[in-house]
Amino acid sequence: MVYKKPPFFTIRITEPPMPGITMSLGNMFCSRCGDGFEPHEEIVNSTGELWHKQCFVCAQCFRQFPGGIFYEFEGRKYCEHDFHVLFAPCCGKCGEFVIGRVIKAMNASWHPRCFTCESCDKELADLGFIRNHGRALCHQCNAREKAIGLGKYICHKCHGVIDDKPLRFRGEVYHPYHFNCTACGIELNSDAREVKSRPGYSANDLNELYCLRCHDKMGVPICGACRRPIEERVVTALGKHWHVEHFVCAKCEKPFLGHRHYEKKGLAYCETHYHQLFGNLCFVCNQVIAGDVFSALNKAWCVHHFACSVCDQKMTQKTKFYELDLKPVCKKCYDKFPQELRRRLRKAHEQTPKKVAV
Amino acid sequence: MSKAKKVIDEVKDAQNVELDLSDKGIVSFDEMPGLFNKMNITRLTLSHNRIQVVPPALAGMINMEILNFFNNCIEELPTSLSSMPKLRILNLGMNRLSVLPRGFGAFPVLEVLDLTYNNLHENSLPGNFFMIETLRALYLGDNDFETIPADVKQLKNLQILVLRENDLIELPKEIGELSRLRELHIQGNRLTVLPPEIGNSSSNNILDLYKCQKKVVKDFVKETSSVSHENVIYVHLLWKHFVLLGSTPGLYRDENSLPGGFSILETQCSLFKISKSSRF
Repeated sequence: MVYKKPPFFTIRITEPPMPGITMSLGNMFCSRCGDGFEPHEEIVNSTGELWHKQCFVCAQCFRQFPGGIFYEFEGRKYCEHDFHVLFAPCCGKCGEFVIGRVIKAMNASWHPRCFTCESCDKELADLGFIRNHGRALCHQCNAREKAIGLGKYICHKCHGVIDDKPLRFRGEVYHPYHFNCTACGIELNSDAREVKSRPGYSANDLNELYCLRCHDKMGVPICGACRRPIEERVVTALGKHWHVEHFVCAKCEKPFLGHRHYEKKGLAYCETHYHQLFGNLCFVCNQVIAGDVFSALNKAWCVHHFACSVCDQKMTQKTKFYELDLKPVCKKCYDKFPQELRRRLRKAHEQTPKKVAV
Repeated sequence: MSKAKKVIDEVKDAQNVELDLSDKGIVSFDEMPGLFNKMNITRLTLSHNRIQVVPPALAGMINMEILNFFNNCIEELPTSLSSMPKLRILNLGMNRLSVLPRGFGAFPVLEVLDLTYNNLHENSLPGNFFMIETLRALYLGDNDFETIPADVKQLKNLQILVLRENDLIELPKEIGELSRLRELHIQGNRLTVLPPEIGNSSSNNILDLYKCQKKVVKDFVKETSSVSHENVIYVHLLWKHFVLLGSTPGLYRDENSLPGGFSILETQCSLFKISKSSRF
């Protein structure tokens, strides 16, 4: 920040010859031409020096000073117009002469009211400024721009850069430590949750902040994808809660929006991608099953390929069947098995609890 | 005229004919004259008969996709069988095979091979047996294997491997290289240790260890849980025996979870989940 005083302005007004003061004309000479004065001639007297009226003129235009106002600079006197033209600085913003206080900054001169932050228009003369990529910015704007450049946030309260994770609250970002939990009063960290006013709360109840612990105790479901509370519709699947728009196919990431989904190894897929990835392949024809799927014994079949693995007779979903090595066997074929095999299978079965509590 | 001949004579000239000759008392292919001329047949089911000899000419039925000889009296197979160009499913379960012909592994597109309940052992297998790369299911249950060759790893597409009720003392660790394996039945053997590698396969769904010794399973679970943390292991505790199943949560928890109105008369499929901290 550069301040500069106005360039040596002096304003002097011509003084008429002073009556009553006895002066000898013979001792008086004009400061400009050196000649003497005629009796009754008007003499200009300024700071003890005397001039002919026609000699007391602007050093630039040689005309008398309008209104008797002149400016003196380096021993020469100038009328107001010429003085401005020659010496007064021009404002870098409005182009007018700067009279009075001049702000020298950014390689130019400015009216104090014209030298403002290029971002927020605040006057910078008394606040100081920071040069940022050829722009003059106030401290706040500079900090903000710098933070944006670094991908960081500026605290809405203290205007400092938020180095760690910011806390979002009522649409602004803050240092979490400016707030305390509404419930337990603990100083917050970025895990804190903003809770919107919900039914049952008074209408003018604004959002409040809670620490994660208090928030969890409030029983608001948390989305398994974004880890944020779910205020509206909750989808429950895969043992978690989801925002409707965050419950998506693990392959194409399109939300199911209530459409059917397929689960595989803890992930959900849309119909298209489930078949594409895991294709319910028919155990017999090894093709993706287009229509209805018969599933049993960890396998799948086309409806018309589901048959006894021994006699190839078709079975329906009503047919009861035995299993051998996780392949279906109809009762007729099972009865033809050697007795010792049936005994072994029966024994294995008897030792298997029918249902086990999970 | 035998019942079989009548059925064969009724075969029309339509395409993709499937022929069911199950339980017809057939002793020989001689009872089915003209069969080899019906080139449009894609499936031939001859289960529950008393066939002893499979004639090499059968291989001439080049459109055949499914051959089912379950429960016959076959002792030997013709080499030509392996050359059938479209054969996808071959069921030779419950026969009297004690040896497989040379070059048996030459099947071009075989997907399912069922050799359950025969008299096979490791020396019965021809050198190229594990070259059937298209194979997705291999049933060797109820045989006399004492070892399984490490070559099993060549069956890259294998999803189901049944070694139930053999005389296996150990398993090759190469089974762990079968990346698509989702069913491994090894119950009813004399295994004393399981290679932890078999816990590596991410698609491992069902590992049937029924009748394995308690300690074997215990050691295995201890080993694999340090090897593969992602695999949720389902363990079925029944008295002193275990059925141990790999991932796919929720698929198969109890018989109520079977979809589509299925019911299972005899089921071995009730399982429950343990976490690694579970007691053994």
